[in-house]
Amino acid sequence: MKKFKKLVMLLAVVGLIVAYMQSSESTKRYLKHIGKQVPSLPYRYFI
Amino acid sequence: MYDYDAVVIGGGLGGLTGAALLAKNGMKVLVCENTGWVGGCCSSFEQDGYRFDIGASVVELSWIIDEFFEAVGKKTSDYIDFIPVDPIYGFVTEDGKRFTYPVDKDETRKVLEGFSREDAEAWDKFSKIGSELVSEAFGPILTSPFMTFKDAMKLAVSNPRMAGYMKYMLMNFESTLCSFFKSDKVRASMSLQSYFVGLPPALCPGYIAFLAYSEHEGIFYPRGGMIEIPKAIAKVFEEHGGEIKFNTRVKKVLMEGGRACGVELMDGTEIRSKIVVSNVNAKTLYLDMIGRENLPAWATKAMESYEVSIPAPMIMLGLDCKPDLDAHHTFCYTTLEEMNSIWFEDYYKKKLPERGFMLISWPSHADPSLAPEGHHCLNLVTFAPYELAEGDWDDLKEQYLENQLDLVEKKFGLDIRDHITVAKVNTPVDFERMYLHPGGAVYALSNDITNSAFFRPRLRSKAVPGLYLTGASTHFGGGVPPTIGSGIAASKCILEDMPI
Repeated sequence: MKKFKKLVMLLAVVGLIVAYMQSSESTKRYLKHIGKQVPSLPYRYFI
Repeated sequence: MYDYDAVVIGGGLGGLTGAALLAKNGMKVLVCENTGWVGGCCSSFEQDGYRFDIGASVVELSWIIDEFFEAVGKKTSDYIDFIPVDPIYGFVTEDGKRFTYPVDKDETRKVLEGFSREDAEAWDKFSKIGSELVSEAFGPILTSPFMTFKDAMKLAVSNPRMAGYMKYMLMNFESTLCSFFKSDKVRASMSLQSYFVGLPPALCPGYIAFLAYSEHEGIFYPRGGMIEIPKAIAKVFEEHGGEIKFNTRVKKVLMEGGRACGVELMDGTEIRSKIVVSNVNAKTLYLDMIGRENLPAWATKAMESYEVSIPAPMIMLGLDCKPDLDAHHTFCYTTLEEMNSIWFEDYYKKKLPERGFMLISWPSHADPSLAPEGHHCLNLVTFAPYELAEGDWDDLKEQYLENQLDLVEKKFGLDIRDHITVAKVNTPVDFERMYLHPGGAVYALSNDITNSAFFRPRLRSKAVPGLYLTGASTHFGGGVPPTIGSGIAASKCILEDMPI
């Protein structure tokens, strides 16, 4: 079961990387911008 | 013990709306306004017989204003005379061709057919989704508290179709627009919407693209200028016993046992109240008026992490002639690529704007009483950085005016220099001085997806009990309907916490 969960996680990560690589330059720029903000989101959520 | 039930810091639309609803529900409310007038960025001033708008230039989703007046037992039409604005926009293309988008969406479809039959068909699908988003998503959330992930899930569960549209929160504006429309000309004519939330098309959330539809539900201009909206709300507030102190600047929020319990004015006067409602920029509120020493570390981190929105320098012109324009709002035709380039190559590199994008607002087209007979008012609006790589705004005012008049001549074919009777420039620094907006930010905080919905400062503060937020800093962001909506939503939170 543990191995199966790991495999699902791995596939999900690979899927996200593939989706990112296939996206347009504009979308990549957008996702990068969001990625940079992610560390602040837990604080922003509660304020 | 308390002087008031609630003290409201700032007499902008959100603060006034919240104040009026609290007063209507029997609370003793005071609004402290830093300037000598109401409205914040939705205001007007008079000079040499002209009445110029300071910020907001038109109203859409006007049912939010009706909802406010209904909630206070009044009728909008008894307080504000809204003039329908049609067409919505005029455009001038690079080769000098002109066209307009009428309010009637079928008429707009006919205009789109002139560019591309395929895009005219896409307009039908775009309008259908836009209509559903306006009525089923924006409708419920604009005037209701929307502070947690649970609130978002409730909306998605109550309407599964909305869940399908959440993809437009993950897509950017540019991709969303391109997924519907194939013609560069059509895309260019809709590229301006991201400017309305102060972001480049590449960084703007996809759902903002549907603003291009929402305007087709009707846009309006209040007779007498944009200030007539806050004046009407202030009148209702005073009719219910509310009090406004003008030229009264709040220095800090008084705290007792970690709770907000009033304000201290610049002259040292202390006003105590059961709750405090803020209508100022949330960064100014939390970091300056409350102070890091009164905040938990996580709240300071949150506030420091927010970026303020763009400033929008504005040039107000009085003309002794009728300008050769076709609509209340006219844009120079800017492709998505050019828009991104202006943002990333000019704005983010702190250059004074010299090219590309500009909105010309012509309020005296809708309401001729704003100018002497035969004269007109124009507002030239663009976006420009608060900090400049070279020079400062006070020294560059004249150069900025000249640059923009060159742009008007080049892009719109309007030679108005010899007809200007009044010219006033409000730079980002002027906005900061006038309204205490840090960085001259007109939409308070940035409106990207990581600063929106439950990531924007809450209407009911979690860090400071007794503190409530209204205005562009909180849900749903900047603009006339959202800030009025924030006042309605905040008053719901307050009345829930303090039943009368």
